[in-house]
Amino acid sequence: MTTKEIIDIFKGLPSGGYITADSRLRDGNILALVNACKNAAQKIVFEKEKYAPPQWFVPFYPEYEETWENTMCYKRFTMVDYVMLDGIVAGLGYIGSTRTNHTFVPVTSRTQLADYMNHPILRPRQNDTYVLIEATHIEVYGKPVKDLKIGIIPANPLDVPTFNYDTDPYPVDGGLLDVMKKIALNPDYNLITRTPYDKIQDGNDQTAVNK
Amino acid sequence: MNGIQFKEYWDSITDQAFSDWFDSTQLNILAKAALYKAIEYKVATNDRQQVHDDLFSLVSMSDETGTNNFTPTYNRVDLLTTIPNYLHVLAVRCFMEEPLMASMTDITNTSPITITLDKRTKLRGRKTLSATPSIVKIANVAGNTAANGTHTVKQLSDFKYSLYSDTLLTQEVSGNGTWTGGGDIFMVWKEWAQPINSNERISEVNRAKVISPRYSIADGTLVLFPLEYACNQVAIDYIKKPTVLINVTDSAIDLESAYSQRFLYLIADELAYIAKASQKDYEMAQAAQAEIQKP
Repeated sequence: MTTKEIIDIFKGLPSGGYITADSRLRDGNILALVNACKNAAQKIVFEKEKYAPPQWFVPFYPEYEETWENTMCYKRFTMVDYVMLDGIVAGLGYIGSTRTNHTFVPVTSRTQLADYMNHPILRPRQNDTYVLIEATHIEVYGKPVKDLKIGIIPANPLDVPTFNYDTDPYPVDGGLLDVMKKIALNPDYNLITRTPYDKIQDGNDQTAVNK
Repeated sequence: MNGIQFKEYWDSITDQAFSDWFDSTQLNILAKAALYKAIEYKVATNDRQQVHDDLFSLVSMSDETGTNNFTPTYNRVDLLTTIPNYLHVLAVRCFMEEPLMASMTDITNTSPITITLDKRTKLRGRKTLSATPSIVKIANVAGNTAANGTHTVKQLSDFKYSLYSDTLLTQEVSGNGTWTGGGDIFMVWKEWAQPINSNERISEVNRAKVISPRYSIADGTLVLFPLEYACNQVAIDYIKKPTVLINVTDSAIDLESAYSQRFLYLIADELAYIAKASQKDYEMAQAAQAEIQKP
């Protein structure tokens, strides 16, 4: 199901598809709602089942930032926002080479990286590559790489540069969609439309569109 | 129903004294005003098929073959000169060009032309029957100039795409020489735009994006957002100005060829209201107003 189709489903939720002219039902607003619901639903489902289905992941190819190469002892890449499934598990899948199935070792904090680097056994060997994932960028230590592939559960799939809004499936599985719909209809999200009150009791509909 | 029959109907719903008050010239002027008011009323309440049917001859629809497709200059279409019979906008479809953050490393001289990019992009082929393939615009290619222009793509690998000239990927684009260099590549998004007024532009929530473009009408022009992306084509569905006006002395033109019967009755009701209001007869005008508001 593409992002467009998901947006259409959410637009139809409050009124069964009848109201579409409300400014809250514009694509951009609905897309933000869909993303918020997706992230919340993924946390709920993961908490219960302790499993992240492969449909949730989007391949992300971080972009190599050449300008940082000369000054730093690591390779720096771009990063997009991803979902933390719970306090420990990040929404990250395969991290490694694009051409072969060579997995890199992800570290989520600089402390952990420092421990690995100073450890007599765990320190980078010939074939080990450590990937430090920061909020805004990625640092790659060890083997010099210029290509990287990450399976990611993105907070907003449209942030992923290779994600095509028109044709790529929105990264949710069928079961998750039901949970997302229930979350969207929560009054907090203010999706349910309400017609204005007809205050004057004169048999004329005051809420109708003026001529 | 011709003009004379329209006048007869109008006579029957209004006071006979009133109907004699106006000569035919005055009545034609008021009928034109009533026609426009009726159109405005139908456009404002156009939320059902029943209402839309009344505007059947006044809707001008765009299509893929180029009808009602216009070329904006700096994302603006001058409505006054480009579409002289424009009255109201119904829908706007933008063809926005997004520059791809990749460059071409090869363009083959084959049929179809195959291009190779140096990075992964969001270009996709046709995955399922219903999905439409991505559209690319290629410019400034030297040598193999057939690659220039707007094409649809079939994805061969992460970096390779072949070019076609139709959405069903049946008509191949053939090469016409050896590629000697150059080439800019854009992805074209064909998206329906949503309206945005100037008072809404201040909000970050309403910011237009290349995948969810916005349009606004100002200075007699249609402006397409986001302005930082070039819009090379725009398709506009709009309400036309009426060309068949009501002449109460005419018996030759059948008004039903342009307007539905229901719509003509609405015009007569509007005309009754205008006629009575213009004579400061507010009681009668209110009676006519109540008639118009009936569904």
